[in-house]
Amino acid sequence: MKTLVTLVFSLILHLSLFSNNSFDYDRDEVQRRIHHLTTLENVYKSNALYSFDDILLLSGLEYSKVEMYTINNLQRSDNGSIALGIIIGAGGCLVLYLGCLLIGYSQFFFL
Amino acid sequence: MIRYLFIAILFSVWSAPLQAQYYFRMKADISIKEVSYDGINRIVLGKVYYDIHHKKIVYDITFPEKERWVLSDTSYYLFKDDILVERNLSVIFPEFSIFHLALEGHLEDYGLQDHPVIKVKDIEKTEDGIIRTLRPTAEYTDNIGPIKLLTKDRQLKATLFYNVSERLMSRQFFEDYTVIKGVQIPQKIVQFLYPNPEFHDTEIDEDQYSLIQTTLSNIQINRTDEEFLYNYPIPD
Repeated sequence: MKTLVTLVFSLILHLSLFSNNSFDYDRDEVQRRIHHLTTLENVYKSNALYSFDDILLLSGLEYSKVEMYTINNLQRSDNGSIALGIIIGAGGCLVLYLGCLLIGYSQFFFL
Repeated sequence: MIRYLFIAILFSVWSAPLQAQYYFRMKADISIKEVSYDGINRIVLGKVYYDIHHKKIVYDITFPEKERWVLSDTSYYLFKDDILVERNLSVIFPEFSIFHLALEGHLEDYGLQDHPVIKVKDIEKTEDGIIRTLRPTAEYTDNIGPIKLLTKDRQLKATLFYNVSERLMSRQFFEDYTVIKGVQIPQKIVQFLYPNPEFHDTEIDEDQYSLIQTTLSNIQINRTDEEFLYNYPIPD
Protein backbone atom coordinates (compact mmCIF):
# COMPACT_ATOMS: atom_id res chain seq x y z
CA MET A 1 0.00 0.00 0.00
CA LYS A 2 2.83 2.36 1.01
CA THR A 3 4.64 1.59 -2.25
CA LEU A 4 1.49 2.27 -4.24
CA VAL A 5 0.94 5.66 -2.54
CA THR A 6 4.59 6.61 -3.15
CA LEU A 7 4.27 5.55 -6.79
CA VAL A 8 1.10 7.60 -7.34
CA PHE A 9 2.62 10.61 -5.57
CA SER A 10 5.79 10.37 -7.70
CA LEU A 11 3.67 10.12 -10.85
CA ILE A 12 1.63 13.23 -9.95
CA LEU A 13 4.80 15.11 -9.08
CA HIS A 14 6.47 14.00 -12.26
CA LEU A 15 3.50 15.11 -14.36
CA SER A 16 3.23 18.43 -12.55
CA LEU A 17 6.91 19.17 -13.10
CA PHE A 18 7.03 18.09 -16.71
CA SER A 19 3.60 19.24 -17.80
CA ASN A 20 5.01 22.57 -18.94
CA ASN A 21 8.18 22.55 -20.98
CA SER A 22 10.17 24.70 -18.62
CA PHE A 23 13.40 24.10 -20.49
CA ASP A 24 12.23 26.21 -23.37
CA TYR A 25 11.38 29.86 -23.71
CA ASP A 26 10.31 32.36 -26.31
CA ARG A 27 13.56 33.96 -27.40
CA ASP A 28 11.79 36.59 -29.53
CA GLU A 29 9.77 37.67 -26.53
CA VAL A 30 12.92 37.96 -24.42
CA GLN A 31 14.62 40.00 -27.13
CA ARG A 32 11.59 42.24 -27.43
CA ARG A 33 11.46 42.91 -23.70
CA ILE A 34 15.19 43.53 -23.47
CA HIS A 35 15.39 45.59 -26.64
CA HIS A 36 15.13 49.11 -25.25
CA LEU A 37 17.79 48.35 -22.67
CA THR A 38 20.08 47.11 -25.43
CA THR A 39 19.43 50.32 -27.32
CA LEU A 40 20.35 52.35 -24.25
CA GLU A 41 23.52 50.30 -23.80
CA ASN A 42 24.51 51.01 -27.40
CA VAL A 43 23.84 54.70 -26.93
CA TYR A 44 25.98 54.72 -23.80
CA LYS A 45 28.84 52.76 -25.37
CA SER A 46 28.82 54.80 -28.55
CA ASN A 47 29.60 57.86 -26.40
CA ALA A 48 27.37 59.81 -28.73
CA LEU A 49 25.73 63.09 -27.92
CA TYR A 50 22.21 62.42 -26.80
CA SER A 51 19.57 64.50 -25.15
CA PHE A 52 17.70 64.05 -21.93
CA ASP A 53 14.58 63.56 -24.03
CA ASP A 54 16.27 60.64 -25.79
CA ILE A 55 17.03 59.09 -22.43
CA LEU A 56 13.49 59.57 -21.25
CA LEU A 57 12.29 57.98 -24.44
CA LEU A 58 14.60 55.02 -24.02
CA SER A 59 14.15 54.54 -20.35
CA GLY A 60 11.28 54.14 -18.00
CA LEU A 61 14.16 52.96 -15.90
CA GLU A 62 14.23 52.89 -12.16
CA TYR A 63 17.59 54.51 -11.47
CA SER A 64 17.74 58.21 -10.97
CA LYS A 65 17.14 60.18 -14.11
CA VAL A 66 18.96 63.06 -12.46
CA GLU A 67 22.07 60.91 -12.23
CA MET A 68 21.66 59.87 -15.83
CA TYR A 69 21.20 63.47 -16.80
CA THR A 70 24.44 64.29 -15.00
CA ILE A 71 26.28 61.52 -16.81
CA ASN A 72 24.66 62.62 -20.00
CA ASN A 73 25.68 66.22 -19.48
CA LEU A 74 29.19 65.24 -18.52
CA GLN A 75 29.48 63.28 -21.74
CA ARG A 76 27.95 66.13 -23.63
CA SER A 77 30.33 68.68 -22.07
CA ASP A 78 33.34 66.40 -22.70
CA ASN A 79 32.35 65.87 -26.27
CA GLY A 80 31.41 69.55 -26.55
CA SER A 81 34.86 70.62 -25.38
CA ILE A 82 36.54 68.33 -27.90
CA ALA A 83 34.26 69.53 -30.68
CA LEU A 84 34.86 73.17 -29.72
CA GLY A 85 38.62 72.57 -29.71
CA ILE A 86 38.45 71.01 -33.16
CA ILE A 87 36.31 73.89 -34.49
CA ILE A 88 38.63 76.56 -33.02
CA GLY A 89 41.70 74.70 -34.27
CA ALA A 90 40.29 74.17 -37.74
CA GLY A 91 39.01 77.77 -37.83
CA GLY A 92 42.43 79.06 -36.84
CA CYS A 93 44.14 77.04 -39.54
CA LEU A 94 41.64 78.28 -42.12
CA VAL A 95 42.19 81.92 -41.13
CA LEU A 96 45.96 81.39 -41.31
CA TYR A 97 45.68 79.71 -44.70
CA LEU A 98 43.42 82.47 -46.08
CA GLY A 99 45.77 85.08 -44.63
CA CYS A 100 48.74 83.52 -46.35
CA LEU A 101 46.80 83.34 -49.60
CA LEU A 102 45.77 86.98 -49.27
CA ILE A 103 49.33 88.09 -48.54
CA GLY A 104 50.60 85.98 -51.43
CA TYR A 105 48.05 87.36 -53.88
CA SER A 106 48.51 90.94 -52.67
CA GLN A 107 52.24 90.61 -53.14
CA PHE A 108 51.59 89.15 -56.60
CA PHE A 109 49.24 91.98 -57.57
CA PHE A 110 51.39 94.74 -56.18
CA LEU A 111 54.50 93.42 -57.84
CA MET B 1 72.13 5.11 -10.97
CA ILE B 2 73.11 8.42 -12.56
CA ARG B 3 71.30 7.36 -15.74
CA TYR B 4 68.06 6.74 -13.82
CA LEU B 5 68.46 10.05 -12.04
CA PHE B 6 68.98 11.81 -15.35
CA ILE B 7 65.87 10.16 -16.81
CA ALA B 8 63.84 11.14 -13.73
CA ILE B 9 64.99 14.76 -13.99
CA LEU B 10 64.30 14.79 -17.71
CA PHE B 11 60.78 13.48 -17.21
CA SER B 12 60.05 15.89 -14.38
CA VAL B 13 61.17 18.87 -16.48
CA TRP B 14 59.41 17.63 -19.61
CA SER B 15 56.16 16.91 -17.80
CA ALA B 16 55.94 20.35 -16.20
CA PRO B 17 54.13 21.95 -19.15
CA LEU B 18 51.92 18.87 -19.44
CA GLN B 19 50.51 19.26 -15.95
CA ALA B 20 46.82 20.04 -15.85
CA GLN B 21 46.15 23.72 -16.45
CA TYR B 22 45.27 25.55 -13.30
CA TYR B 23 42.67 28.25 -13.77
CA PHE B 24 42.33 30.54 -10.83
CA ARG B 25 40.96 33.87 -11.93
CA MET B 26 38.69 35.45 -14.48
CA LYS B 27 37.92 38.96 -15.64
CA ALA B 28 35.22 40.02 -18.11
CA ASP B 29 33.17 42.92 -19.33
CA ILE B 30 29.64 42.46 -18.06
CA SER B 31 26.23 43.87 -18.82
CA ILE B 32 23.16 43.08 -16.74
CA LYS B 33 19.74 44.01 -18.07
CA GLU B 34 16.65 43.45 -16.00
CA VAL B 35 13.08 43.81 -17.12
CA SER B 36 11.09 43.35 -13.95
CA TYR B 37 7.54 42.07 -13.69
CA ASP B 38 6.61 45.14 -11.63
CA GLY B 39 7.70 47.52 -14.39
CA ILE B 40 11.10 48.40 -12.97
CA ASN B 41 13.86 48.08 -15.54
CA ARG B 42 17.57 48.30 -14.98
CA ILE B 43 20.77 48.25 -16.95
CA VAL B 44 24.22 47.90 -15.44
CA LEU B 45 27.54 47.92 -17.27
CA GLY B 46 31.03 47.28 -15.99
CA LYS B 47 33.65 44.63 -15.38
CA VAL B 48 33.62 41.59 -13.16
CA TYR B 49 36.60 40.04 -11.38
CA TYR B 50 36.79 36.67 -9.67
CA ASP B 51 39.66 34.82 -8.01
CA ILE B 52 39.11 31.25 -6.92
CA HIS B 53 41.26 31.71 -3.77
CA HIS B 54 39.70 34.91 -2.50
CA LYS B 55 36.13 33.80 -3.35
CA LYS B 56 34.93 37.36 -3.93
CA ILE B 57 32.90 38.41 -6.94
CA VAL B 58 33.89 42.01 -7.57
CA TYR B 59 31.81 44.12 -9.94
CA ASP B 60 33.49 47.33 -11.06
CA ILE B 61 30.43 49.21 -12.32
CA THR B 62 30.74 52.13 -14.71
CA PHE B 63 27.07 52.68 -15.61
CA PRO B 64 24.69 54.11 -14.49
CA GLU B 65 27.23 55.35 -11.96
CA LYS B 66 30.68 54.39 -10.78
CA GLU B 67 30.54 52.00 -7.86
CA ARG B 68 31.82 48.61 -6.80
CA TRP B 69 29.81 45.66 -5.60
CA VAL B 70 31.49 42.83 -3.76
CA LEU B 71 29.87 39.49 -3.05
CA SER B 72 31.72 37.51 -0.44
CA ASP B 73 30.48 34.56 1.60
CA THR B 74 26.89 35.53 2.44
CA SER B 75 27.37 39.30 2.24
CA TYR B 76 26.93 41.98 -0.36
CA TYR B 77 29.01 45.17 -0.08
CA LEU B 78 28.50 48.41 -1.99
CA PHE B 79 31.42 50.82 -2.29
CA LYS B 80 31.49 54.31 -3.74
CA ASP B 81 34.90 55.92 -4.12
CA ASP B 82 36.27 52.97 -2.14
CA ILE B 83 34.07 53.87 0.83
CA LEU B 84 31.63 51.24 2.10
CA VAL B 85 28.11 52.64 1.87
CA GLU B 86 25.99 49.52 2.20
CA ARG B 87 26.24 45.99 3.50
CA ASN B 88 23.53 43.37 3.17
CA LEU B 89 22.95 39.67 3.18
CA SER B 90 23.39 37.99 -0.19
CA VAL B 91 21.76 34.85 -1.47
CA ILE B 92 24.44 34.38 -4.12
CA PHE B 93 27.29 32.22 -2.94
CA PRO B 94 30.51 32.88 -4.87
CA GLU B 95 31.32 29.14 -4.84
CA PHE B 96 28.14 28.53 -6.85
CA SER B 97 28.69 31.38 -9.30
CA ILE B 98 29.37 30.55 -12.93
CA PHE B 99 32.81 32.10 -12.50
CA HIS B 100 33.86 29.67 -9.79
CA LEU B 101 32.20 26.67 -11.41
CA ALA B 102 33.66 27.44 -14.86
CA LEU B 103 37.20 27.87 -13.48
CA GLU B 104 36.91 24.60 -11.56
CA GLY B 105 35.36 22.82 -14.55
CA HIS B 106 32.18 21.98 -12.61
CA LEU B 107 29.70 24.12 -14.49
CA GLU B 108 28.24 21.07 -16.24
CA ASP B 109 26.80 19.70 -12.98
CA TYR B 110 26.43 23.12 -11.33
CA GLY B 111 28.87 21.94 -8.67
CA LEU B 112 26.21 19.63 -7.25
CA GLN B 113 27.61 16.28 -8.37
CA ASP B 114 28.96 15.29 -4.95
CA HIS B 115 26.95 17.67 -2.83
CA PRO B 116 26.31 16.27 0.67
CA VAL B 117 22.73 17.62 0.87
CA ILE B 118 21.40 17.61 -2.70
CA LYS B 119 21.44 14.30 -4.55
CA VAL B 120 20.57 13.23 -8.09
CA LYS B 121 17.25 11.38 -7.91
CA ASP B 122 16.31 11.02 -11.56
CA ILE B 123 17.98 11.14 -14.97
CA GLU B 124 16.03 11.42 -18.20
CA LYS B 125 17.27 11.54 -21.78
CA THR B 126 15.32 13.88 -24.05
CA GLU B 127 15.80 15.50 -27.45
CA ASP B 128 16.91 18.70 -25.69
CA GLY B 129 19.55 16.88 -23.68
CA ILE B 130 19.87 15.08 -20.38
CA ILE B 131 17.61 16.25 -17.57
CA ARG B 132 18.80 15.51 -14.07
CA THR B 133 16.48 16.02 -11.13
CA LEU B 134 18.14 16.68 -7.81
CA ARG B 135 16.45 16.64 -4.46
CA PRO B 136 17.61 17.40 -0.94
CA THR B 137 18.17 14.64 1.56
CA ALA B 138 15.26 13.93 3.91
CA GLU B 139 16.32 16.32 6.69
CA TYR B 140 16.34 19.31 4.29
CA THR B 141 13.09 18.79 2.39
CA ASP B 142 11.41 21.55 4.43
CA ASN B 143 14.03 24.08 3.33
CA ILE B 144 15.16 23.18 -0.18
CA GLY B 145 13.05 22.38 -3.22
CA PRO B 146 14.00 20.25 -6.20
CA ILE B 147 16.48 21.38 -8.84
CA LYS B 148 16.57 20.33 -12.47
CA LEU B 149 19.60 20.57 -14.71
CA LEU B 150 19.59 20.30 -18.50
CA THR B 151 22.91 19.38 -20.09
CA LYS B 152 23.81 18.77 -23.70
CA ASP B 153 27.21 18.06 -25.28
CA ARG B 154 28.76 18.23 -21.79
CA GLN B 155 27.53 21.79 -21.36
CA LEU B 156 25.04 23.05 -18.82
CA LYS B 157 22.16 24.51 -20.84
CA ALA B 158 19.55 25.31 -18.24
CA THR B 159 18.65 25.08 -14.57
CA LEU B 160 15.26 25.09 -12.87
CA PHE B 161 14.85 25.84 -9.20
CA TYR B 162 11.65 25.08 -7.29
CA ASN B 163 10.60 26.02 -3.80
CA VAL B 164 9.56 23.41 -1.25
CA SER B 165 5.99 23.60 -2.57
CA GLU B 166 7.28 22.54 -6.00
CA ARG B 167 6.51 25.97 -7.44
CA LEU B 168 8.94 27.16 -10.12
CA MET B 169 11.08 29.99 -8.73
CA SER B 170 13.86 30.40 -11.29
CA ARG B 171 14.78 29.32 -14.80
CA GLN B 172 18.29 30.01 -16.11
CA PHE B 173 19.54 29.42 -19.64
CA PHE B 174 23.24 29.36 -20.48
CA GLU B 175 24.01 30.26 -24.08
CA ASP B 176 26.79 31.24 -26.48
CA TYR B 177 29.49 29.12 -24.88
CA THR B 178 33.05 30.10 -25.59
CA VAL B 179 36.34 28.45 -24.66
CA ILE B 180 39.07 30.71 -23.29
CA LYS B 181 42.36 28.94 -22.52
CA GLY B 182 40.43 25.72 -21.99
CA VAL B 183 37.76 27.24 -19.74
CA GLN B 184 34.24 26.79 -21.07
CA ILE B 185 31.98 29.65 -20.15
CA PRO B 186 28.59 30.87 -21.41
CA GLN B 187 28.64 34.45 -22.64
CA LYS B 188 24.91 34.92 -22.25
CA ILE B 189 22.76 33.95 -19.29
CA VAL B 190 19.03 34.48 -19.43
CA GLN B 191 17.21 34.13 -16.15
CA PHE B 192 13.51 34.17 -15.38
CA LEU B 193 12.78 34.90 -11.75
CA TYR B 194 9.30 34.16 -10.47
CA PRO B 195 8.04 36.07 -7.45
CA ASN B 196 7.44 33.94 -4.40
CA PRO B 197 3.74 34.30 -3.47
CA GLU B 198 4.66 33.81 0.19
CA PHE B 199 6.30 37.26 0.17
CA HIS B 200 3.44 39.09 -1.58
CA ASP B 201 0.08 40.21 -0.28
CA THR B 202 -1.51 40.34 -3.73
CA GLU B 203 -2.21 37.46 -6.06
CA ILE B 204 0.76 36.49 -8.25
CA ASP B 205 0.08 35.07 -11.70
CA GLU B 206 2.24 32.21 -12.84
CA ASP B 207 3.21 34.08 -16.00
CA GLN B 208 4.59 37.02 -14.02
CA TYR B 209 8.35 37.01 -13.94
CA SER B 210 11.41 39.22 -13.98
CA LEU B 211 13.77 38.78 -16.88
CA ILE B 212 17.50 39.21 -16.33
CA GLN B 213 19.94 38.94 -19.20
CA THR B 214 23.63 38.87 -18.32
CA THR B 215 26.24 39.03 -21.05
CA LEU B 216 29.95 38.49 -20.69
CA SER B 217 32.52 39.62 -23.22
CA ASN B 218 36.27 40.14 -23.45
CA ILE B 219 36.77 37.25 -21.01
CA GLN B 220 40.32 36.94 -19.71
CA ILE B 221 41.74 34.08 -17.66
CA ASN B 222 44.62 34.04 -15.14
CA ARG B 223 45.69 37.64 -15.56
CA THR B 224 48.09 38.81 -12.88
CA ASP B 225 47.49 42.54 -13.06
CA GLU B 226 44.78 44.43 -11.13
CA GLU B 227 45.45 42.32 -8.06
CA PHE B 228 43.62 44.91 -5.96
CA LEU B 229 40.33 44.24 -7.74
CA TYR B 230 40.54 40.45 -7.50
CA ASN B 231 40.97 40.76 -3.73
CA TYR B 232 39.06 43.92 -3.03
CA PRO B 233 39.38 44.74 0.68
CA ILE B 234 36.20 44.29 2.70
CA PRO B 235 35.62 44.88 6.39
CA ASP B 236 35.70 41.92 8.80
